[in-house]
Amino acid sequence: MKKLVLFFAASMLLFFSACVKQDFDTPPIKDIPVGTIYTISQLRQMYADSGAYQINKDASVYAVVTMDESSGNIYKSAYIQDAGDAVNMHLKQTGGLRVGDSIRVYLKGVVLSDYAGMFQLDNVNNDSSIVILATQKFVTPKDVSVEDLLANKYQAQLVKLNNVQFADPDTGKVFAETSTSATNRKLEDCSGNQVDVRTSSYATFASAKVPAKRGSVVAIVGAFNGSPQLYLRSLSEVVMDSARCQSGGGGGNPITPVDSVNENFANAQNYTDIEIDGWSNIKVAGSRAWQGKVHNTDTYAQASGYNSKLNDMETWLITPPVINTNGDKVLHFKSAMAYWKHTGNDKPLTVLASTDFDGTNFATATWTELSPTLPTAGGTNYAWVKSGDVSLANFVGNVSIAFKYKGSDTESTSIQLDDIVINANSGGGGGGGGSTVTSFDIDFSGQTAYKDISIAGWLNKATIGKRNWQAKEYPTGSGKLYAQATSYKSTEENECWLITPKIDLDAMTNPTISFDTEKAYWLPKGGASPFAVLVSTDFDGTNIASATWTEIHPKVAVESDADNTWIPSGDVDLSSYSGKIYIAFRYHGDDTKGETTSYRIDNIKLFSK
Amino acid sequence: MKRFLSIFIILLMIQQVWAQTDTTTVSNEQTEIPTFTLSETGLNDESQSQDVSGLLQASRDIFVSTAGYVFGPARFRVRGYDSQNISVLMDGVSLNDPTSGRAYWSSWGGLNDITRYNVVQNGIVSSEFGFGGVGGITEITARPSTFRKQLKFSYSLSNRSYRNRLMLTYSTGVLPSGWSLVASVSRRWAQEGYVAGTFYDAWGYFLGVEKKLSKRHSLALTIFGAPSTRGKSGIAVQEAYNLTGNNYYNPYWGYQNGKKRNSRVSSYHQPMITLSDYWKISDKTKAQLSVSYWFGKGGSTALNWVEANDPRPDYYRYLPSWYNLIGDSASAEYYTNQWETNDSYRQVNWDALYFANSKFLYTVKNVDGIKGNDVTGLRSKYIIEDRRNDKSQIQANGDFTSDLNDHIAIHSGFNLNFYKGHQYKEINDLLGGQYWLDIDKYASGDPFKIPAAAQSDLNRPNRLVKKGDIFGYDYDANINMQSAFGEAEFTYRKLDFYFGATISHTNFWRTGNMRNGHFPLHSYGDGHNNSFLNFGLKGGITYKANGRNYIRGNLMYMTRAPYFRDAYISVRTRDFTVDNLKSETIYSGDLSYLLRTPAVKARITVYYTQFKDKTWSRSFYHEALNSFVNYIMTGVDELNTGLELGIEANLSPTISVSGVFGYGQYVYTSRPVATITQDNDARLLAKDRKVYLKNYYVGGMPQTVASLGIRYNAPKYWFIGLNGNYFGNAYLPVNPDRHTKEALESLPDGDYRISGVLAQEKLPDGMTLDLFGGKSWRIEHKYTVGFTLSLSNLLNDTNHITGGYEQLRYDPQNINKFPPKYGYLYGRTFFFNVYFRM
Repeated sequence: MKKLVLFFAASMLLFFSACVKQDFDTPPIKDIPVGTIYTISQLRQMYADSGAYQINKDASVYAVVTMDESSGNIYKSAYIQDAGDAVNMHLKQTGGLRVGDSIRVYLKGVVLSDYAGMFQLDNVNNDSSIVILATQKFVTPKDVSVEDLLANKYQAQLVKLNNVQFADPDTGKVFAETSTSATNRKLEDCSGNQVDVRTSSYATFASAKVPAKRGSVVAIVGAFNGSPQLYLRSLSEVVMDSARCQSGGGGGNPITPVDSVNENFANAQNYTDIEIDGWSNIKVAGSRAWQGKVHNTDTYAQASGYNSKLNDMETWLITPPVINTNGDKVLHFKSAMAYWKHTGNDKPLTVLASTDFDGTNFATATWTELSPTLPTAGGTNYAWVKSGDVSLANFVGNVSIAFKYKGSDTESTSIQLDDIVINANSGGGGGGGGSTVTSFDIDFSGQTAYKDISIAGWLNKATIGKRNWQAKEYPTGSGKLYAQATSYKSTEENECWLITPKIDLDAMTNPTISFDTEKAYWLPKGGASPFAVLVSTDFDGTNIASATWTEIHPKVAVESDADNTWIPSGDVDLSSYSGKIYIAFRYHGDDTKGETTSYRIDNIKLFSK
Repeated sequence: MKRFLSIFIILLMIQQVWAQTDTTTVSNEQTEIPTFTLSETGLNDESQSQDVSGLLQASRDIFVSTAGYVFGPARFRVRGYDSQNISVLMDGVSLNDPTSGRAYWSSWGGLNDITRYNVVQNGIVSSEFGFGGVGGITEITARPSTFRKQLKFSYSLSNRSYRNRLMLTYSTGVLPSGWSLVASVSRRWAQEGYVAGTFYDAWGYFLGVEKKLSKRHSLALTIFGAPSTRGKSGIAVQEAYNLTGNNYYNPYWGYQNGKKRNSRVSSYHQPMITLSDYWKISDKTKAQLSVSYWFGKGGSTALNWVEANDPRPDYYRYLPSWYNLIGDSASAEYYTNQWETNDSYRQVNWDALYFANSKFLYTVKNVDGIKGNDVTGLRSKYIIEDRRNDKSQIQANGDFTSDLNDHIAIHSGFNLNFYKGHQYKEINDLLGGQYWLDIDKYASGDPFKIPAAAQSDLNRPNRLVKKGDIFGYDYDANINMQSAFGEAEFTYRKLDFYFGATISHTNFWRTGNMRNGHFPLHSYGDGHNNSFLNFGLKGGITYKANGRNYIRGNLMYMTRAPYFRDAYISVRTRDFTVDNLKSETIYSGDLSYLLRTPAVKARITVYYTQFKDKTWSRSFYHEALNSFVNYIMTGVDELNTGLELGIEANLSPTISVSGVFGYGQYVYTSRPVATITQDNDARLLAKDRKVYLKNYYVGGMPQTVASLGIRYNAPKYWFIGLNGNYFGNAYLPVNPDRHTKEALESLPDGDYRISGVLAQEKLPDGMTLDLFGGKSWRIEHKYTVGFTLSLSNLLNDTNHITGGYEQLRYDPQNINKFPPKYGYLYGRTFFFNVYFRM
């Protein structure tokens, strides 16, 4: 037994004497010497003096990191800046530095050289040559201009450019294509000076889209073969929230106002941005503008988001300013839509007017929306819709009309525009008033209630006062419309003429006209009729005052008729006239004198009996 | 006694001498004779080895025991099965890990005196302990009352993965009071094993007590554990071996302050406590009921780094071949010289890691998500992280055996298994820095903010972690299994037959403990519960022609639930299982002829096993994508067929010879479908990619093995023996992605490079010679003292490749850019064991 105990004791000793040592001392950390201290501009000078060489003694430079690799836009590289200058460091390993690190770079072994003409520190070993002294010491970017960069100033420095935008062709594209290692996009100021922004396909923001608006950009100024190249650190430093500088037509000088506009886009080239002297074609968002389109022999302007790949497309086609001293100019045009894809209340086409646009100040001009008749979602593709006469009486001065298209790749409705006319009357269409009619049947059903009568070929003009013949609906919502003129509550004297198109009597047999009239609230009692039907053979289509008008007397509503009762005129024989004539329906009232009868007309028919 | 002690002390001194010898010639670990094995993969970098060959040695079947101690080092697996197909049980308790199905030897390492008492049944067998798999059942009996009274002490000296071993075992046998006690303690250690940079520090302990409560019940309580800490060895590309002149070059270690330090240290301690009731229900029926709790920590360290160069010395861009590839021959020459001479270059340069960590001053804003909480400090560029898998498993098991009569026995049982594995990683060493920032270093960046997607845990963003803190990933693997089996065994004079069935239900789910920034909706909390119902049927007949000749045939059909480890496409970051997750189907048959005479024992077997719908998964780091990539294949079918022959003959009372021959063919028989994902991105890199794997070898082991042995047993208690062994027909496991249409896309039809991409490398055949011997003395009729010495690979062949793998990253236009990694067989190794028994 004793032997056994001895034996156990011996073995226990053995068990515990067997030790496997596995504790490790922290090895001593070697210091990195400082040596001679240089500034970056001194190093640049050394390189300029002696060309590429390797520093072989203890030396250091102190600087702050202005760009690191964390966005992936640069690799094995960092930019540093001190009080006077900046430089790119080409690193042997990746990582270990952050923007804002205040560092000392140990220069022994570092090579002063250049890459494609840009001075750099090469062969910098992150681990053995860089000491981080402090963090979060951010350098404020310097405000510079594109011209400064094009003059090769601020190389390798952190700068900020204000009031810049990406060039039209580059907006909406990705910052860096995947097919190549890096991509250049052009950044420009409002004077058109351009500089490249270069982004690596490895950058985290490589697949983000280049913004279309204008704003500010913070970047590092690189250089390649004598040209500056900007490197972005982060997409958060590209802040574009203002409208673009003026682009397209107009070029910086105010446009001379014109008397009238009559544009049928005859000179437009298919699929080419509209460029007409005096007109502006502006891309506010996205890279598309109004383009010319040719279909058979018809040419017109078109804007469409279809297949644009744009998230946001906005383009304005603006007429030159039109002299409108009396407010008597009228706008009419025709428009059409195809493949309506806009949803909810979104409208692809808006028409606006401005009296302070001079051709150069698009961003700051005041634009007011007009209400012409426009194509709607339920309409037929490519069917022309006449706008009706849009009075510009509220835009006294020099008025420019803008056709604004807003859409995108998904809201891709196509809008076509043609026969834009701004004129003192609404006669004829593109090509001047040469056309005649031999029949018509006007029941005003296409009119909009409470809006001035606007029928192609007809003239609805006020010769005294501001009121014109207006469309009215009675009963409300019934769809039954008629034309009415009244001085009631007009606070002025009114005289308005509703004149037919030129009627070619020679092309008719037994020319006849018929219509219905109605009156209401005949005032003053016993007063003269406000309504007259007149004929003229020498009216020129525009100037009422200079034409000779002869009154005819068909059966019309008179004071003794009941209010709101239609009185048919019966067939009115026009055979006593020949050649070309105009028939006018004239209203005269005066609110200041209590002559406020409301007079209505409907179902005006011209026919050969 | 004195004599013994003096021998002992001499041996100790020898051990000291051995420990200081040059350890540059090394190999993978190897088995030893007679009683245990240790193997260490290092091949596919599994943290634990699933080689159960040590247990096989105790088999009485010559083929199986030879497979254990001779073929094991060459990575041979019986019938090509991995340990998923073998049920390993200890007193009825299942030792197969629920997440992978494998049985890890490290759970019982060093407890040889206990585990030697096992019954190994190979192939489809009838058993009272469970249904088993196509590979059979190994049941270790550690019941205290089965040990006879003994005191055993042994000391071993070796030059394999450890150099010293001490074991002490004491068992009382059944005492008159009805108590029995077994206690065993062991220690294995080496400052450096066969491979440079590997250290070994392990203990084993076992304590069992049993009390016979009555004629019917005996209650036993056992506690055992095998805590170990080891520095691992890794394999490398042939270029690294050539440059260092060393086929056992280990890229994991390096010098720190002049001392060797290993970056991959595995440490395990997973004790098990079992309470069993041995219940004699009647004269004919007995039952064994047990409840066990198996718990503990396990993990393996590795280097991790951020914003720094790869610290692994054998990274492909640090090899001269990289410089030759990019046309920089001056650097190629320089680095060739460094590889040939400079340990700072070709091993981990710890001093440089500490230096880098001393300088990375860094400010983290809004630490822990608190606005304004900015912290500035030294951020570690390099760390050692510990990838952990701690487990907690409860099993309840019952086995019932009933002898209905002399001919019929009924076995049945049930098993309830509740497993929870906590898988995470923690900081083991900051290597001189002050903190590690817990974000995904591969997530795209911006200089001014950390993207939400980069956060490991959105619940605690911008976290600074220190030693002992959990970071990176943290989830639980929850696996519950319930199974039951039944078997009827019939024994007659001429015929034995049996049939059995099993039914089981498995369900598992992932519980995330971190809300991953890339997958915020699918990472935190309990994930989808995946449930599977499986069953199995088996049967076999043995025809006993006479007492000498037997013919045996077995058939098995079973389905098996997929393993947790293979089911998820990126288990660390999200709760997504692979598409079409389904149970595996296995059917197998074998036919044997056995001869049993006093002079000769022989067996010849042919077998056929088809696995269908297996799932295969691997992860690797992909540089161009800057992320870990997961490669999962489903619909993998494998066919294992072959022949086993074992003969043992006594030529004379003293001389015995043995011959063993195995021929197998283990091939893929389907075209699986692969899904490739990135750990840090929801995008699938590939889906439903067809892999043309049909008829390619599974690889990784010799398919043809043979061994001839002769042994002389002298009358005076000594013996000597010699074995000549052959391993052949081994293939390197393929990278499945090379066998897809996409891999060949960049090569035109008929291009000469296509065959290089598609070819499967055949490893050269090898032969080894083993010598063993021993002597024992009986002292005073009470004590036995003896020694055994075994020498493996006597001829010191250090050029035999035992295995390896094709790298998962490849360039089809230049297939040699990423060459395969190989592992070599250890050269001459010895194991000298001295023991004392009473």
